[in-house]
Amino acid sequence: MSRFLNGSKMNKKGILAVQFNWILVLIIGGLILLLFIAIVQKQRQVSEEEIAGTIQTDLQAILTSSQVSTGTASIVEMPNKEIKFDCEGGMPGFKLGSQTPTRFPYAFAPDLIKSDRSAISIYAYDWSVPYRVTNFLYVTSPDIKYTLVEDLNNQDLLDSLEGLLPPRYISKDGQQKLFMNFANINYTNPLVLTDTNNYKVRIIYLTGSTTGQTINIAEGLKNTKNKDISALAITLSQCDTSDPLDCYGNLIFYNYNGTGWSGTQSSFVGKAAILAAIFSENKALYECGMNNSLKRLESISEVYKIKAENLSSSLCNTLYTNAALNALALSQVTEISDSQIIYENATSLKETNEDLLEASCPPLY
Amino acid sequence: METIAIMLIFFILLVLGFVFYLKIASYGQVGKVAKVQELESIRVSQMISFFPELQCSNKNIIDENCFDKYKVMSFAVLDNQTKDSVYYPFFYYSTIQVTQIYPNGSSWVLYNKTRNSTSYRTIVPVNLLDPLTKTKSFGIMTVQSYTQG
Repeated sequence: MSRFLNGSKMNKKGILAVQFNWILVLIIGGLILLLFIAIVQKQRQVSEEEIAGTIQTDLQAILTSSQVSTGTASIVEMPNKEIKFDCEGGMPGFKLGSQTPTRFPYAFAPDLIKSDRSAISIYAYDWSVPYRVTNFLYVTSPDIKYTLVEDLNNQDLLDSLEGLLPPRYISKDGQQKLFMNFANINYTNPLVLTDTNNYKVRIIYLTGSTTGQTINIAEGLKNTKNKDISALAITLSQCDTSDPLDCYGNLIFYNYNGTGWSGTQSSFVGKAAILAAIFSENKALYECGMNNSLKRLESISEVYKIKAENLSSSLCNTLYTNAALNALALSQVTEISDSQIIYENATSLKETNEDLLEASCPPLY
Repeated sequence: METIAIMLIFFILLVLGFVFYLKIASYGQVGKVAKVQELESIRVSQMISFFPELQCSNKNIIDENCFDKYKVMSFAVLDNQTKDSVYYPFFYYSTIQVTQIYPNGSSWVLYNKTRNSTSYRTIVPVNLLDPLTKTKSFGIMTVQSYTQG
């Protein structure tokens, strides 16, 4: 009996040892599994950060090269990531994931850039009033739809605007790629828009007169959120006789709330500023870039003012003195609402520069 | 007991491998950072070469690789507050100087924001145009970029 009992105790011990081994294997196995899951997760995070970093570096390189040439359109290929565009501390910036934003003072873009085509479109255009101040940089997605509405009073304006916009398609690696998705439509009230499954829709309405046409949207944009439907009304006040869009004027940025529009006013001067308003989602993003541009205008005008003063001891003294006064006026503009002052002084400087050339004196710019 | 010992050795080897991997990865990162900082100086010199504040122009038509001497002189005397607010996002911590080499002439400091750190220097040859005499002289632009620490 006692032998049997002893044997039973030993069996129990054996069973316990086997159970302990299984529990140990389970715990250690679980730990190893957790460890590898953690490593894989970390690696995935690191690789995503690396991709975001590469895109940021590419973007930075493009921002630098955009300073060099004007009228250049380029497509940057990137994974299907969302780029947020904001204006923190008065400086526009592009942010990808948790990366430090790439900031560029003269950038204009919608608040969110994403593309199922894995590409973003970048366009540079110079802001000259009348001398080149800087190149503006416009960033958008080919998945955003821009609808240009014709002006009932002046249909030629729409053609001029189409000529100012970047091309619809550009050639990359031997393929035609969509750069900017824009189309023009006839004015109707309400506007009849076709839903083409875009994540953002922007309606551009250009008028040569101050009597604006009403913008109402008929039902049709089911796949675009209300907050992503916006409109821009551009009213031209005074233009250069040789160029119908080289003007100053007023802008109204509209946001759609499902039933109606809420609008905020701003101003523009020059063709580059019209493009800036088209590419910017709202007034805040537009004025963020424009305020930085005005600071640049201030410093560059200061340079031209000093140059004109130094040259005024030579021939053409009166012309240089006038130019210095115009440059001084431009250097004192701090708000875009003073677009008329910029336009008038720029026009006067342009004429003075022509006169200087005619008088065989060194031009100011 | 045997199982525990095997597991212990397994984990020690795993930790050693992981530490080795991290060390190699961090060496790679240090190399990348140094390269980026070196490129920064080239980026600044490329950017300033195309600044309308300095470029030679005639009716807004740019003459490349040429600085207008009158613009250079005017830019050099701009106050530091303007330079800080407008040009810091382009030049960060750098010293940019233009020197006329032939015929021997003046030197102008266009931007100067320094700090105690390693610096990289890039020298770019430029033409300096005198718009009054319409003559060009030969000069160099020196860009010294300071790293982040």
